[in-house]
Amino acid sequence: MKINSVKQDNCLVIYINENEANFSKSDKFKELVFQEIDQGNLNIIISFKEVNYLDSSFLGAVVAILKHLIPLNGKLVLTQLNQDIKNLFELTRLDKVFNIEYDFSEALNVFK
Amino acid sequence: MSLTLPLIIQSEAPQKPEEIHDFVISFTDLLCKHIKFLEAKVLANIKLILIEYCTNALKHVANEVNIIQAEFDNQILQLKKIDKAPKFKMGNLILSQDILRNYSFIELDAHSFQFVLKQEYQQKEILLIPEHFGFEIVIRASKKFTYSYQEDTKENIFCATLTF
Repeated sequence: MKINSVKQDNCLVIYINENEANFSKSDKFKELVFQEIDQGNLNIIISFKEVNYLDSSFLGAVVAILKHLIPLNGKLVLTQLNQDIKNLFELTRLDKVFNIEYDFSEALNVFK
Repeated sequence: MSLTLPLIIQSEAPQKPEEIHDFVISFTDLLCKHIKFLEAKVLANIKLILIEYCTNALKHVANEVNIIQAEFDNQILQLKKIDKAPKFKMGNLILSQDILRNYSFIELDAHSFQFVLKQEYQQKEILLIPEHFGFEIVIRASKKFTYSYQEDTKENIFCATLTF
């Protein structure tokens, strides 16, 4: 599971450097992001710019990350979703649960 | 992949996770070649169903041959996942409250049932949102989603029906 975490402004941007975000990577992704949260990074942006598709397992991991952040008063923003990933969030109604900003600069603005 | 008329597209599911994306693209390209009026939204739902079928095959039935099949006739598209694993049992899922928070089952007969969505309430409490979406995605992306077990061939058949 390849990710790249970069501190930017007052948040942590996590870039998923994978084309396929599926069950073979979801547990490791969740573990890596939980580590960042547990180190005190409570304002997180996840960029899906490189991701072609998300499966149900990876979607579950993203939900788990949100549920981990909420009791800590953290904030999660998802950004740079392609149309297929956007469709998945809309279909599952999770677009109403997550803060989704399609433009990266708008995602950064959430934390300003 | 093989193609016969009326339209039937059948292929073995991918053997590796990294093959899923190319498989779905190839499968949907072939569908689009023969079903000219596929709307973008319908195509998006087809892709999501195929991804979940492939994921299910690799995650849960990796030791068996998994067939992904599309049948199109009379404005109805049926997407099927067929395998010869032991009969799928509702009881395995009923034990998981997380999985069953958003959907349940209607028994159709001794060997088949339909998956149905429950009332949508989960968004009101984020901490109660389930973390398992596989079947839910297929239920939402199709008009009808069923499971049946064919005793004669000993096949599990998951079938998502989309109408145009």
